[in-house]
Formats: sequence, structure tokens, C-alpha cells
Amino acid sequence: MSSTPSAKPTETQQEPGPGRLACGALCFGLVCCLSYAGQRLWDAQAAPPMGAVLLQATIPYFWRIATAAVHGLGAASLCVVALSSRRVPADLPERLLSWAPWLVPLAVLPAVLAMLAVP
Amino acid sequence: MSPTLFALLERLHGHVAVLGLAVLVHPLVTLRLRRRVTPGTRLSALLAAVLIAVPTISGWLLYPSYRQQVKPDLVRHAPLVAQAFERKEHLAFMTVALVLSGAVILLAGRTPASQSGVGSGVGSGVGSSGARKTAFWLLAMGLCCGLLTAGLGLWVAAGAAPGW
Repeated sequence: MSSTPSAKPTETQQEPGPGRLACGALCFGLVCCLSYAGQRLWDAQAAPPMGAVLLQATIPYFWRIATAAVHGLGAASLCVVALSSRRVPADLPERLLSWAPWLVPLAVLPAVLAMLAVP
Repeated sequence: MSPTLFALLERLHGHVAVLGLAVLVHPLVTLRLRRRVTPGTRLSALLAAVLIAVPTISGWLLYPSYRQQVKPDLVRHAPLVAQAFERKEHLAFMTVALVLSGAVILLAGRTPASQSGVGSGVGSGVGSSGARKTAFWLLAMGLCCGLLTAGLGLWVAAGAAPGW
């Protein structure tokens, strides 16, 4: 029965592409925010006085950004690869994306509040 | 970096960022009000992402000079402003990450089906409500972070450079 290809399966095979990418982009955005906030909170546990920052050889802000970007890109890549597997149902990306209206604020708002609380 | 170049970049940095936030309102409104993702929505999302990414990069260029020339005095004389600057930097990175993600979703939605004229050639790829909602929420949270960043930036600019 699988040897009777028709036009419809071809169309449905094209759909998951943008869905996978959208999931990857969602992963990137959220992981970047959470990773940055996590790193800052971690650093804040043993933060030197603000005036002593000039004595550091590296700029922690740049390190945090680079690390968060690497985390975000890694998570997005993993997400896209995982969703590309044939074992994954074709509608899974769409189901995952349907969680975005509560997932995005739930992940971002605490990170924003934490960054406002810990400069 | 010379003081003149620093001042020029710093002003451009702020103005372009605010312009990017203003442009970001367009895709948010159209994603909310229209059923389809129009080319105009994609274009404005791309423009907003670029207009927010450019000042971010200029901010990275400014940061080492700020650290050496401006920050010590700020920490000494106006510690609250110095803390506001740090908060602004944190929120700015989140803004960029969220807006870029939302724009990528909108731009990646151009499927072959949408280009071949099916569904008026508009938005079949992002036509899935999940992708559209995801892009909307990422951009909306990006705008929230961006507005906070802009407010803190105004405070810092007023506190760090009184102009006399």
C-alpha cells in the first residue's frame, strides 16, 4: 500500500520543513535567553565590586554572549535534527509550536525579571 | 576610539535601536490582525531584525571604550546609572535573540508551495497557526525587552552625558 504515491503525500512532506525550522528558531531564542540569564546569575554569586572590573583581562559580557549564542545554536541544531528523524510524527513540530503562547512568556519573563534584579 | 567617534556611534546606536523597535510594531500588528503572513510582514520583520542587530553590533564596538572611559566615573558618581547600564546590556541581548528568532520563523516560512502561486503565494509556509503564533510571541517578548532596554538606555544616556 505504500507503493501508491499520490500528490497529497508529496504536499504533506513539504509542510514539516518550516515547522522544524520554527521549532529550531524557538529553541534558539529561548535557550539564548535562559543561558545568558543563568550565566549572569551564576557569575553574580561571586561578583567582584563593579570598580574592580577593569582589572580583568577578559570582558565577561562578551563571554556570556558568545556562550549563550553557542548554546542557542547547539540547541536549535539538535532540535532540527531530532525533528528530522523519520520516527518523529509529521505533526509533532506543529504540536510543539502550539505551546509557544505560554512557553515563550514562561521562559522569558523570569529571565527578564532576574536580569532586572541582578544587574 | 576617539571621543568624537564614540559620541557619534553612541547616538547612532540609540537612535537606530529605537527605530528598530518602532518597525517591530508592524509585524506584531499584522500577525495579530491578518490571517496570512504577507510579504510586507516578512519585510518589516527582517527590517526590524536588521535595525536591532546593527545597534547591537555597534554597542559591542562601544563597550570596551565605555568600560575604560565612562564606567569608572559612573560607578563612582552614579552607581545607579552604572547598574542601569548593566541591566540594559542584559536585556539588549535577549531582545536581539528573540527578534532574530521570530524573524527567522517568518522568513523561513516561504515554502515552494507558496512560491508557486498556491494560496496567492502568500504565507502558506508560516500559514500554520503554530508557527505564526510562535513568531508573534517571540517578537512580542522581544519588543517588551526592547522597550525596557530603550528606557534604561535613555536613563543611562541622560546620566552619563549631561552635555556640559
